[in-house]
Amino acid sequence: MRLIAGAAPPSSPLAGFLAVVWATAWAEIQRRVAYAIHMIRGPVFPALYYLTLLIAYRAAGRSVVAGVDVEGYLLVGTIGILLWSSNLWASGYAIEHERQEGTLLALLLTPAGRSAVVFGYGLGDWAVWVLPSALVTGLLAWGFGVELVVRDPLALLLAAVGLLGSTLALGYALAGFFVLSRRANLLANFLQSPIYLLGGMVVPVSALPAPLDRFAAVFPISAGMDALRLTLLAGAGLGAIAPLLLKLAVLSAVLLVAGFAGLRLVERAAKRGDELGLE
Amino acid sequence: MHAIEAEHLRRTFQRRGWLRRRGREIVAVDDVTFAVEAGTIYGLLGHNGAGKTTTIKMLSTLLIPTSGRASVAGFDVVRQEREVRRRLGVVLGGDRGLYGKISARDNLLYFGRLYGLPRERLLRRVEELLELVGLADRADDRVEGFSRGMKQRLHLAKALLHDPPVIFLDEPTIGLDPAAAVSLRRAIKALAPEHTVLLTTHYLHEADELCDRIAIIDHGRIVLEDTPSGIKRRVDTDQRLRLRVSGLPAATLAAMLESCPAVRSVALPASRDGEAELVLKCHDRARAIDEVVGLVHRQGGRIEVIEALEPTLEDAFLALTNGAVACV
Repeated sequence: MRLIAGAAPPSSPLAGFLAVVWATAWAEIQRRVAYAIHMIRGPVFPALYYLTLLIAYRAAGRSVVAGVDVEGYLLVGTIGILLWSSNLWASGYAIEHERQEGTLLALLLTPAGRSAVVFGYGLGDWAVWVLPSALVTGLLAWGFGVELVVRDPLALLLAAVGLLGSTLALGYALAGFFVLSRRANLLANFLQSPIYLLGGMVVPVSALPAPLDRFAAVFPISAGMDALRLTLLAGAGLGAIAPLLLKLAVLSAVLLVAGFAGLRLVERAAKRGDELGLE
Repeated sequence: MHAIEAEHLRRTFQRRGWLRRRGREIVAVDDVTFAVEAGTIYGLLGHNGAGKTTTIKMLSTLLIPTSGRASVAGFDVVRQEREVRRRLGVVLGGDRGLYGKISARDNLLYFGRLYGLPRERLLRRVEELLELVGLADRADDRVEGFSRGMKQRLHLAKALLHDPPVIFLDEPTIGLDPAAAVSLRRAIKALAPEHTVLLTTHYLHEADELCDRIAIIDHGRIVLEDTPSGIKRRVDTDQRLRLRVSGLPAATLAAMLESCPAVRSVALPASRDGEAELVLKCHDRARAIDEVVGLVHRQGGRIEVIEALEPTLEDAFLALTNGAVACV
């Protein structure tokens, strides 16, 4: 007979947070690799997208887009597509996925931070889908003669980190919102393809009609892709991308606050017994 | 010392009306008060929809009570929810709550990390628990291929991962085949006194077998709380006699016995190996025995067996939840 023991609190909040992020990422990887078809299908989809768009541009007689080679433009655009899809279906869909799997209540019963779980989903998806897919697409672009012009490796690194960080923040912001919408699947499907166009992934934002180009200005992946294009394809340095990095940081902060609030709302709604169908 | 305390817990739900206007209020739990002694198994017994699961959800921090308060292991379930979760293991009914596409071992490893267990302790604990629940030989198989009984045993292992002092089991044997249910009940029985267990069930024999104390819950309210034997004693059900008589046909005997003033009714008349068997319900058992013995002798029959049947928990439960019989 005792009333003590149980799980001890983590040595520090950060250590506890990171432990849950890694554990969730690893569990997500295990679930994703459980079936070989997932591993084959994953990299094929963006590679086909890249090829289709490249052929379309070439058929239209275009070899340069927004001041860079079309092969390079589409390589960064495809990375944007990968990250956006990953946002939607991994971190953005994390809580909804738990609901569909029937594990959400089991998760809510643990003392683990819900935010850490969402980030874990995002990281797991990067490892198992985004990185292999980006590698396959990169090899394809290299085969088509993409020309990389990197003059400032630190700027390139910061652009990549900024892009990845802001996309994680975007996925985090979507996680609670999707569940609260009660129609996560419909919403994710609805959001997926239009963003390819509006986010500057397949055509430059400058080519969009006036009201639509405003959207790209508040879409963090667009700023991240611009920074990556400039440092990877046009040899830009830190000074040139600093405004973009600042914009990414501000947007990411806003998204993190929105994500935190969204997850709190979900949990509060669940505890009030709202009809979110969480079981 | 109490491991679980609930004081005047009430939980209502608002059923949405047309166009999402506020609709009818549904009272799921109404003024529920009880306390569970540490190291014991406490049963919440009730029909489907009686309020058992809602009570468990409030105590396990999944639902906020509309009013009242509750604590688990000394921590308030609303204000100190993270402390409660660290000290609580929960097995929710049904076979959901596990990741189907990964193995039993990986499920436990993942949940162990969500509970913040250090790596070495977790690895050791997972092996111990797989052994304890009899899944060591299926540890590396995907859970999606498990039977319901195996999933329930894995749920129990998951609930025990962080060695919580308090465990909630919400209808843990529902849907299991008899052998699996017996095996799981054995495991639950072994949890006390090391752990305090709150068990909800609508299997009366299960509550009778496992629980030190039982609360019967009906329409969201606790209608009686006592030990299983105390509940049986306190419910003023009909007294019953089982009778086996030779030399008289069952139907004739039943008709004759119904005319005895002390006999209220005759049930289950049947003939077996030339003997009539029946169960009598009576207000006063001693008087009924006198009348029945005299009548059977006068009619030329011979009493082979006459025995008093003690009330079962099922009798008590039905009496209480139908509201038909008063408590003594």
